[in-house]
Amino acid sequence: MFRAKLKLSERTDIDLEISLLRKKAERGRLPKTVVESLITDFTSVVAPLIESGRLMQSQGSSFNVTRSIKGSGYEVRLEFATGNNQSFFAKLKSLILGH
Amino acid sequence: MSDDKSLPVIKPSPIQTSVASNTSTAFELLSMLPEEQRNALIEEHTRGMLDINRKATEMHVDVAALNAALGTVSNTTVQAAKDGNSVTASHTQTTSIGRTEVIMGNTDAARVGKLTKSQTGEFNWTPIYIIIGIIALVMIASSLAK
Repeated sequence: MFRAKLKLSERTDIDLEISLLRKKAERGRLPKTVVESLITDFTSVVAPLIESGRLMQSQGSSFNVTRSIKGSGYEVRLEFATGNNQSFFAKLKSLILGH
Repeated sequence: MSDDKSLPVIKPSPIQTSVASNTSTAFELLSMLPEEQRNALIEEHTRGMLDINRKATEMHVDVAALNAALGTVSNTTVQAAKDGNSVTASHTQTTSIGRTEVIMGNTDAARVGKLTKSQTGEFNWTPIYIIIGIIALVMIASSLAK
C-alpha cells in the first residue's frame, strides 16, 4: 500500500508536485497504470483547490481543505491551506524548506 | 388706478431661511431666532447632512465589498464541499460598519464556529513563549552543569 501526505498551498507548483508524487509512487512500486490513475485523481483534486486558494488569498480569506485520495494500492492525504492562515511553525518550516 | 407703492414689497432672500424638519417645534424655534443665528444653524445642519451622506456612502461601499467577499467565500466553500473535500473557510474584515468574522465549512472546526488566531489575523504569541521557555531551560541547565 502506497501512502503519502502532502501539504499544499495556493503557491504550490502543481507540475512540480505531480512529478514528485510520480517519483514517490514509482519508488513505492506501484504499477504504472495505478500511478497514472493516482496522478489523474491528484490533478483533478488539486487544480481546483489551487485556483480557489488563490481567489480566497487575494481577498484575505483563509481556506483550509483536507482530502484523501484513495485507490487500489494507494492513499494520498492532502492538506491544503492558504498561506496567510498557516501556523507559526508551518510558516517557519516553509521558510526553511523553501516551499 | 391702483397704487402699487402702497403694497408691501417682498424682497427675495438669497439665504435659505428654513430647514426640512419633521417637528414643527424645531421650525417654530428656528423662525424665532435672529437671522445670523438661523443662518449659522442652517449651515451647521447642512454640514451635518453632508457628513451623514458621506458616511452613508462609505458604509454602502463597505457593505457591498463585504457582500462580494462573503459571496466568494460561500461559493468557494460550497463548491469545495461538493467536490468531496473537508473544508473550513473563514473571513475577517474590519470596516466602517464594524468587525465581521465568518467561518463556514463542513468540518467540526466550522461547526464550532470559533476562529483561530491565525484565521482572525491576530498574532499568535504561543510559539514565541515556547521558544523563550526552551531558551530559558537551556540557560538554566547550562548554568547548573557548571
